[in-house]
Amino acid sequence: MKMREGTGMIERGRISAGQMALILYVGCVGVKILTAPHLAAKWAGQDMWLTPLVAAFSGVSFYVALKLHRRFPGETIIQYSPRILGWFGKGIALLYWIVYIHACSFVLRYYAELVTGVFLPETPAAVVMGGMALVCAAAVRGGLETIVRTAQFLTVPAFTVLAILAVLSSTEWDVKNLFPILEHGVGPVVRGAVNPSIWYSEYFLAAFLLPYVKEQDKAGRWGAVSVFGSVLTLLVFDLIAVFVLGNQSATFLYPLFETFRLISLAGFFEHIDAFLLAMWLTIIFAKICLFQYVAVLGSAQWLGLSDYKPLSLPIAFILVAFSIWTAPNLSFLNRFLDGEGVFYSHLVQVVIPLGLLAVAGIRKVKGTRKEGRA
Amino acid sequence: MMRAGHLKGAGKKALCLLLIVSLPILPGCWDRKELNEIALIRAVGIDRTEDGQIEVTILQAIPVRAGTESGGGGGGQQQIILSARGITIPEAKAKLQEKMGRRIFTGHQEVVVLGKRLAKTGIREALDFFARFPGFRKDAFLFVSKGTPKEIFETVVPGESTATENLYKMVRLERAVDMTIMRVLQEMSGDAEATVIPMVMKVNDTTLALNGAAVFRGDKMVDHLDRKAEEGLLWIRNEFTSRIINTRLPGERGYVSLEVTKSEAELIPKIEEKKRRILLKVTAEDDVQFNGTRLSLYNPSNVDRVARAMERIVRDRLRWTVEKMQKKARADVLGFAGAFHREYPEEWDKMKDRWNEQVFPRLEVDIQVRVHIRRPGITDRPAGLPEER
Repeated sequence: MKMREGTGMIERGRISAGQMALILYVGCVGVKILTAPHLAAKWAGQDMWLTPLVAAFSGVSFYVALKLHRRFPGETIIQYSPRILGWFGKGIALLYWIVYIHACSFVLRYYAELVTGVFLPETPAAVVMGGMALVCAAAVRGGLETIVRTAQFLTVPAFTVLAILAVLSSTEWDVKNLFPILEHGVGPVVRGAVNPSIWYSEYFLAAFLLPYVKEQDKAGRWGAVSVFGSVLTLLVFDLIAVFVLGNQSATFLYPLFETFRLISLAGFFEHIDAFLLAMWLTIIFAKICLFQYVAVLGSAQWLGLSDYKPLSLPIAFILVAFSIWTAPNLSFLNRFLDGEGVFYSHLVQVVIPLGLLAVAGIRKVKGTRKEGRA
Repeated sequence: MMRAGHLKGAGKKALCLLLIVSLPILPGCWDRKELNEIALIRAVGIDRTEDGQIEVTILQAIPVRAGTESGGGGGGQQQIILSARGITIPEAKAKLQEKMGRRIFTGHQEVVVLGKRLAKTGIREALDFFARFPGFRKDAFLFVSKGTPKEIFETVVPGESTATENLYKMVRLERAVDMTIMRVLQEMSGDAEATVIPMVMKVNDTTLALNGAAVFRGDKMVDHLDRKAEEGLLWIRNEFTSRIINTRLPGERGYVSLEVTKSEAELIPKIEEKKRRILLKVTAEDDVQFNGTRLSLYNPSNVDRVARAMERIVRDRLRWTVEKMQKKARADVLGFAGAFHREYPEEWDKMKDRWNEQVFPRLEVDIQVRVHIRRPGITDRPAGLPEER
């Protein structure tokens, strides 16, 4: 145990609770904002705007991460899981390491599918993914502070622009598309919430960020703000998709993209789809950075290294390779995100952590570090 | 120390090299599209030939350098029309590409013209292509041509650079139902599974005219609405923006012309013991454009008479359109299905499968029209009449 103390705190950067909330928020809405109205509308039709409300229950993963963190301050799940379960816990930690490499490669692939599918059809996907993974590797090398500050710097303006575009799309709105509400009851809405709930379960990433948050007392509150904010954001953008596309929200894979493509102001302010991509790029960059950071930090901690930075580039390569292997095409990705993916993500990010919490309570294991010392 | 510094220098050099090497990749070299390498497609026409093949016609605009535009005048054509046939649209498009040195670029395409023969055999395939291919804009306007699309593209209106420029401007002025690809998709897979697309025809070599609308049930054209019936359709679909309507008053000579400035239609469905009816409520605001009678519109009771006469005319027109849709086309493009769906979701479930064939044609439609005359103009009595009356 003593050896572990020395190597535990390999992240020297500190972030504020608000910054944590922002990066988790980006991680939650990053992909969903552009794509998921499609998957939700497939089941829930015009009621799909209600799905974020249901899916938000998966935001409980943040609370679980917070509880675990309170018990083991200053440590990530990779570190406290062996404390709780010994060698078996080490195995669980390995699982997390692999899961986040997989999750990150998944997001990377999703990003590449959009870019090659819509904007750059002739560019090889490996180049698109490689470019992003390399940039993210550089950001991860810079450390947690670099990541959150770039996220702050890039995504806040991007979301502002998205909000402005949302207002501009109001000329195309047809509020009638919303009715009848809950035509077939709550069932389809719950089914449609499957996909967004995966993104909400990813609030468990907080388990890797909480140890480095400066204002520990505010962390819980900011986490709630983050979940609430993402619900509101997704609700608004889902509503816009229903207003503008109506029954076509399920037809198009990127409904928000199609929505904004229809914007035409006074006959000259149009063709803004490339602009939308530019904005979204910064958002997805922050999201991939977060995942890649977790994968890199997790591997360094699992291997007991004294620094995680040298790992950032090799892991970027692994991620690109993984994202090519992870799925043959976009329909496969979407089927996973709309089906078995929900069990997978909730098992890893809600059920197992809850189990760890329970075992830790029963065996009365506690962290050795003092809170705030970090 | 020295050694470390040296290594650092080498690292810097390597980094510089890496940056320089990455330069050709980073600007998105693979998908670079220069203006002199692409063919700007302004319009696409799709038709079915006699032997069942698909014929794709494209209208390519030739970018003219600013300032050197040669006089304009009688059809200073800045367009090229090409067509090719194939079993599917992409095949025909590939054949077109074989004839061209420039890459077909549809990002600025504004108009899609579907041939009448294609419309009658089904437009779903064409729409799938437009929806699936990311390079197409979903807000391009759709038309059905009376002849072939090629014929439409060849008709260049003097003063416009391409044929479609004119078409585009015509619907922009909202003299017709303006149907974009997205709207047609929505209506075709909507509650009623029926839609309308404006029709365009060639009048002579330099004139195009909008010619009513084609009514689709499912993806097949089933009827053609003339301009008068189309007008009623616009009222009901709430797309009526401004149109002149002439009214005659009982017992008076001459016409009064009114311009409809604002109109709003409301659909109120009702189900009473198996009997389904719908109330169509139209409220319109009009300006007087012309007064050919000897009545002074300064007198409120005369204004009232004009309004009542107007209501009668509008009601008759709407009735005519509705009956035509119910009896002849049997396609609900009026939005009745959606109104029932929203108001009676449970009953809707039971009748949605036989809506167009059985329910809609037998629907009882009550029409209520209310006309308000807002501005009788800036003259008091009819111009040119002596004082005494």
